[in-house]
Amino acid sequence: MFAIERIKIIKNHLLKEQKVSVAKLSELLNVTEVTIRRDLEKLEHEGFLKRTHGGAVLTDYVEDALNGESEDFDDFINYQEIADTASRLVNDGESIMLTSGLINQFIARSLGERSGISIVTNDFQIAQNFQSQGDNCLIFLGGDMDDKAVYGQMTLDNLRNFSFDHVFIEVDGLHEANGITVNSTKKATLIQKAAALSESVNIVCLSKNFGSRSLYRVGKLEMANRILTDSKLDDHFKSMIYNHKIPLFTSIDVYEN
Amino acid sequence: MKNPILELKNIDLCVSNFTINQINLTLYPGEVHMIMGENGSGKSLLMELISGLVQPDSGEIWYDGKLMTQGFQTPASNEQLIFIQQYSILLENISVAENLYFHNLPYKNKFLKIIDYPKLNAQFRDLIKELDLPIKDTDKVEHLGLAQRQMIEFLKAYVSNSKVVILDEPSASLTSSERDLLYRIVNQIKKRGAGIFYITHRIDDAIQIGDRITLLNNGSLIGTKVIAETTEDEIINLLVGTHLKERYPKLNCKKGKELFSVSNLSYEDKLLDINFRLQEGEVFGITGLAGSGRSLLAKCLFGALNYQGQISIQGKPVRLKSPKDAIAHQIALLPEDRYEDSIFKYLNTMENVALPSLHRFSQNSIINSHFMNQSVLDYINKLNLPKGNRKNINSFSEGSLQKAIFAKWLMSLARIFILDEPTRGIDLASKIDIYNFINDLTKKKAAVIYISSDVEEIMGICDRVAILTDKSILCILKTSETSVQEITELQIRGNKENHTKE
Repeated sequence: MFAIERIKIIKNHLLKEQKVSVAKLSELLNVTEVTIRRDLEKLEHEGFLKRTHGGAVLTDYVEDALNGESEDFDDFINYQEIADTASRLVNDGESIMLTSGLINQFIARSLGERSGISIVTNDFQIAQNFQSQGDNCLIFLGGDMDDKAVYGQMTLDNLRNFSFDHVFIEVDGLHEANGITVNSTKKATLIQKAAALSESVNIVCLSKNFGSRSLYRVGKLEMANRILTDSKLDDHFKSMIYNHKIPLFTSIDVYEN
Repeated sequence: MKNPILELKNIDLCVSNFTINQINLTLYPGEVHMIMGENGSGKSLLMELISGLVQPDSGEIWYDGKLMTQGFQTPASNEQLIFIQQYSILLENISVAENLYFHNLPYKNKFLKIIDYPKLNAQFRDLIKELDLPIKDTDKVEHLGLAQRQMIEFLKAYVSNSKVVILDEPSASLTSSERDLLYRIVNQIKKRGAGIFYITHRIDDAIQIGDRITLLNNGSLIGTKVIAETTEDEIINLLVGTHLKERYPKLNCKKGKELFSVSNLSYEDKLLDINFRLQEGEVFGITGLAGSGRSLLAKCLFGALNYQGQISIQGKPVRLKSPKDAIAHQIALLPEDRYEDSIFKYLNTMENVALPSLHRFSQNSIINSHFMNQSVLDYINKLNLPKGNRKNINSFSEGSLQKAIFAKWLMSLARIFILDEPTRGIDLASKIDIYNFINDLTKKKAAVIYISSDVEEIMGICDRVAILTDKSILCILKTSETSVQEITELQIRGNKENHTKE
């Protein structure tokens, strides 16, 4: 069996069970324990799990995210892929705004490994997830707390003090005619403001949310400089985005090295 | 003012994913009308339209004051137009003269169709003398070189009585002396009063023999100019001025160690002194006009042609005697001609995809077909190919086929990917997939050689770009420090001296 499939199985298993043992995986996948250890090492490096004596457990943030809204295990692999792409779009020393959302938590996580990065966010969990090690810095906006993020006039006033190289905006709907939509008006206002202050606007959206729309409109598709999604995206949307002349990153993981 | 011999009025055509919009074009007798535009701008399709091989969706074609309702494919109108395509279609079993006068052979007896050979050969000898051709009347077609065959094709246009002549990129693969001869032939055709549509990529062609020039972009006309009243710069500006917004997903990956290098590579007299280096995580673009040797270079790098010079992988010199050697050194090639050069049409998807990776599934010379099946299915799923292992690969769309070929090399764990026109002719979704595959490759320290004639794509996808002109690399530029304009200009002008920047 190829490493790529093995890793997928390990991830799924871990997400379901929260902990695994090397012996059990080795039996399950019919490969030696050495191979399993190597795979686990790789996943630990990605920040997906923590190795323990004779096995591994999920890292806290993956577990936290799991306790949140989504039950779909596959999504977490997708989040990780998107976060990886996002962190590669950022250069060391740049300033980034992350709006609230689950994928953005993963992005914050992978940006933590870079240096000289400044992150501004309104999401409490993103702030927690970003390890400001070395010369990275984190700025948490002020405002009215609502569902683990801050919004309102105070937040907007706060935001006015910054300018960003990138803003990563996690949205709930992306539709050719209706444009980019989110599920609350506060969020939409904040995003519009943040997008105006940023050099490049990166829209983050899971493939399953393409073609759907939420209640509050943020803007037209053209507001995006890039769109980031996972590899399950339907072909029809790929050509639609291409025709709108927006680079589309599907974060597909096809190559084993 | 003379009346136009041919006139196109408001022509529209839509084929699968390409449209030709509102084309209005005229051709006068005795005129050389140049058609220029980037690859994929619809030049060839427009010519097929004019010749009647394709019917327009709407619009009218007028020939000599008459409305053509069925194009030029009816027996009555067939002789009025001659379309010389890029490839030669000479018949190999008969003589050059017979090929040349195929449609108006001199007969001894018209009824019994007995050909008057002495007269035919005399005609041909006169022609050779008249134009000072480097061909003998006794030459057999099968012994002629590619350029000579093309010459014969042009002569066909000369000896015919057609009033409309279409030459599709006639000068692409000719040397400069052959090009002079071509110009002489074109001038002769012009003298006998025919109008000529001349498709080209070379600005010097247009300046030297063109009367008017029409520029095409993306299926629409940009404009028509009288060449005597315009300058080279003006034409270039019109051509490259149609610049689009950035639309390519490109990840900037950290570059690693040197993975692949080529020094002093030559092939026969078709490629001279090619040098470049490739790092891990890099996408290296190669671009050039048709006939500049792009695909030949790809084949040399894959060991398919017997090259001279040195190729090194990770600093170690290797000799690639055959594609087998190249595959052993983790080199992969996605060739330009997907159907001919890279699949086995009678094998199914699984067999085609698994072929270079068989050793990965074999233990003691026995193939573990269960694992092989599973792995291929995994790739089929991930790359969103037509479901199932037993599909006939020959029935795939261009896009799916290209992705299947990509899967083949991904599975074989190649590290150096040579992609020759990987996105030409494929659907948009597959195009985006391929760009994202490349991102994944570079993320994981593979390297990509990206050969394309689409300069915009090269700019969007590559880290550096080499411009191939006249058989060698003119220069290598960082894409972040150049522009579509600059590259197109370098290609068209073909030399660096005229090039002002720096």
